[in-house]
Amino acid sequence: MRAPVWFAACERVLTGPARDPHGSRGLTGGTIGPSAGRGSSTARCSVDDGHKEAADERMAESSGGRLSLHYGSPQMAIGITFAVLALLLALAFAVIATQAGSAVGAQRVHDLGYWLRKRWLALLLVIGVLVVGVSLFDLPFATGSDAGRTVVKVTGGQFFWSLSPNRVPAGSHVRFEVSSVDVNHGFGLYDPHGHLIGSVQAMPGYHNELDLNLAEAGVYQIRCLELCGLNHSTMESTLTVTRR
Amino acid sequence: MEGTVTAFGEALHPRAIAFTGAAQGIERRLGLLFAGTGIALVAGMGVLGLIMRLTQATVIGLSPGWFYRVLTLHGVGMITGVLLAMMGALWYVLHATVPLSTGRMLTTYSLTIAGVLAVLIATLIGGFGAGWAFLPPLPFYPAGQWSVWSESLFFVGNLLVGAGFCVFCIDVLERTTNTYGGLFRTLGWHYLRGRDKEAPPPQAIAATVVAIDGLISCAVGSTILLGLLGRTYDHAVGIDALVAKNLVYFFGHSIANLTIYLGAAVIYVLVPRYAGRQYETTKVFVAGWTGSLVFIATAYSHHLYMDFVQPTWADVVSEVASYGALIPVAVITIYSMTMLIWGSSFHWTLASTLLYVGFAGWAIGGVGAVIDSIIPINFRLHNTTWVVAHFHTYLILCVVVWAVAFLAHLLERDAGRTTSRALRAWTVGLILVGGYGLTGTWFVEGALGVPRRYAIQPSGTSGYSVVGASFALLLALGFLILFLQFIRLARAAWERRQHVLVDHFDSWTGTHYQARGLRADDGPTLETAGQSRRGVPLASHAQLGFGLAACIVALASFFPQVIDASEVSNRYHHLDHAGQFLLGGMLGVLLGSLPAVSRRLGDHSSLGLLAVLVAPMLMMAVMVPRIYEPLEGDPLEHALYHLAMAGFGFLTGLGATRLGLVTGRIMFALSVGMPLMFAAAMK
Repeated sequence: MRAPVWFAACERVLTGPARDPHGSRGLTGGTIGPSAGRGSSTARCSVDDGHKEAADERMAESSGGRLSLHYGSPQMAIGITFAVLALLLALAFAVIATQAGSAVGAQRVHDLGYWLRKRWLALLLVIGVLVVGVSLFDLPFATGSDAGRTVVKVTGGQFFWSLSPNRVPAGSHVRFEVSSVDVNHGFGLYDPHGHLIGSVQAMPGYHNELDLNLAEAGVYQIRCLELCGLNHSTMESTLTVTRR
Repeated sequence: MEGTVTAFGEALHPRAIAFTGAAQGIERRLGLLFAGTGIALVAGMGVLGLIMRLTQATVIGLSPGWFYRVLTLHGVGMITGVLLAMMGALWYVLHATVPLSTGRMLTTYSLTIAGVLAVLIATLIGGFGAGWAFLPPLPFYPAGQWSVWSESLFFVGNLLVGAGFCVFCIDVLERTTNTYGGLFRTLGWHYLRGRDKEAPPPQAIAATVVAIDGLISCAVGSTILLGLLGRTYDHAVGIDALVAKNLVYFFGHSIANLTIYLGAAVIYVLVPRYAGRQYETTKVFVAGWTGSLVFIATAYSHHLYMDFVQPTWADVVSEVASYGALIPVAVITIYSMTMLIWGSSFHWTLASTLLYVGFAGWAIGGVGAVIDSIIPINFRLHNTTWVVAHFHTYLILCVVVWAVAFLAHLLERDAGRTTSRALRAWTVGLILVGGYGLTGTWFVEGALGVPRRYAIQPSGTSGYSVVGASFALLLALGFLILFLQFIRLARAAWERRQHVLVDHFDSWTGTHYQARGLRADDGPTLETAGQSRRGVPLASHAQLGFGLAACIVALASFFPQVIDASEVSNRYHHLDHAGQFLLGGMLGVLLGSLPAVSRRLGDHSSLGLLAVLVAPMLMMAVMVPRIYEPLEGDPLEHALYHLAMAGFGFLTGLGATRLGLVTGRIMFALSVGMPLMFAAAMK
């Protein structure tokens, strides 16, 4: 989903320039992290593939391992849907408020209101069945054995991530086996564009398995998404997806 | 009639006289006490929220250690503040038809305030910063930030707040079911099936649902808190992180959620006073609240979607329940309230405007919550600031707004007038712009993937915090103007209450005239009307027989073979304790239910309440290996320890019989469930 110009402009103001790891995708084209400039990114885009990975990693390191975040397509769709629904609700409440001062017979309100309420209930039930029903076909939980998958063992601890291996080839069907050595952590994976592509909890005493297909090469960032103590907000790591 | 209209002044709709009685002194006093304290707490916690947002905006430099202390206090304080205010509001509207106990309400207040003070000390002085959800085992991994005493005090503080709410729920459940003739009648089920011609009033049905779900939540919360408290004393105690997380979120989510439903029960009484139309219980209403009873208790599991080891069926149930919870709200409460308002010549005052604004906050925040409760979407939004956004939307823009609306209602009724239209417009405008602006930035950040609870925002995202903090300042300004209006109203109310026009006769001139004179204080009524007898948990021969059979089965927990087998692990050992507790409990229920014994024991419901509250807690407090393992060497001490487990059960069972048939059964069932949950969580 391509962002409108006004949206990209707002995003630039609030988050800084967008990042494009290969100079061809992303919302606006740009840099990795806050310290890298647009020019340097463009220059890096001209190097060959073999050097790009190293360049990506160097850029990630130079920015303290932090990549800028950007709106993913699903999140934008969710956000826009919510905004539309919220505005419709606000409009409905505004209309009702304007009508509240008028004098309408209670019986008339009841007759119309109850007639409308049955349809309102039916509509909500239909939406519910559809939404919940469809969602059950897209559950993120890992199923089946790990045959044919690259298994990455992820261990969270105060305040580090340990990944084994921490490099996988592009196009890998990866199974993350996520656990923790101390407290609950949240394994949040951001793609090279800074889009949150999924998360799973790291829980002591349990292994949560997450299946993802990592098609695109680049440096993926991991952030902790569960409050785990003092340095929760700086508990980060990276996973490098190399070109085949 | 005219006299009463004059008493209302401009505060209520003129038609409201037909169904609005004069508030008793005690209702007003307790309402003011609870709402005033709750709102003061919310205001203080709001300042802490602003400090955190400014820290994320890098405007001020709070260290991460302090950030998480403040975050923890902010969470507990906010929930407790709105809980206090809403409990006071519900008591105010329910007391007119149900003889609630003033003493128990004051006990609730004392316990809650003690709990808040404990949390305040644990966080600000003790440095505890594991978040208001205190996800185990984080409290035991302080990273040098807090000590054992502060984590213990934090647990005790939460236990006290939970106990306060528990006392409130027991009182509401006991009194409503006594007043309306049993649980099924009070929930309107007899009316639904056509057995009764009349149903209880809406607020009574809603309050009963809240009380039942509240009691379940408190039982779950007490269990995990006592387990964690035991862990502070004995570090060898293991915690099953998944079970513990389920218990913690059942407690936290449900209590936070229930604050809205407490408010819903209140608006059924307050909004009609401004619409001039009474709100009646219908069969759809009863069905809806029956749905809410189930949905409130089953929705919490959406907090564990990303714990893939959680059984998938639990996630699916939670997704259905989370969406299902929307239906009664959207189709009954909010919809029928808008029907009530439509074309009613609605009387716009400060209170009624805020009540109306709260509907929008519930609806919009609820949509954000339902979106997040869809599993594939949660996969992209879990623990991002989207979560912060939706719960702040319905907490600030619904529950807090209703809390101040309730206070405004009390003050306006007492003052007999409302505030100026311009001031109301500024207040509501600032609250709406500031509130939705603040939560809107979190929604946008959530879509961006910004994690929540970050002391240091991801690079490049502090701009959102600057914008959010700016809106928060507008929101604060809105509340400030509101509080100024409260002061004016309170002055007017004071004048109106303290002085009355008194007839005088001037003997010099021989004329009659009226002058202001002091009103005689009606004084607080410390106890309200008594209640009729309400049965015992085992009310028939068949039920007594069932109790006896349960005792015989539970006797197995004392078999030497079972005790030996239970030594294999702490979990099995706790299960054996649960069996012994069940045996003692059933004996207590059985004995206390016997007519002759019950008559002798008399109507000591407050002692019963104390027993069902304290005895199970004491039992779990001593279910710590460091306490019981030294006793196992001596057969007599070992046997006495296990007998003590049964003794705690006996006290609980006997106490439950003093709470009547419904509350007694529910409390006993929950108290038996507590050691079972304890065994599951602590290993």
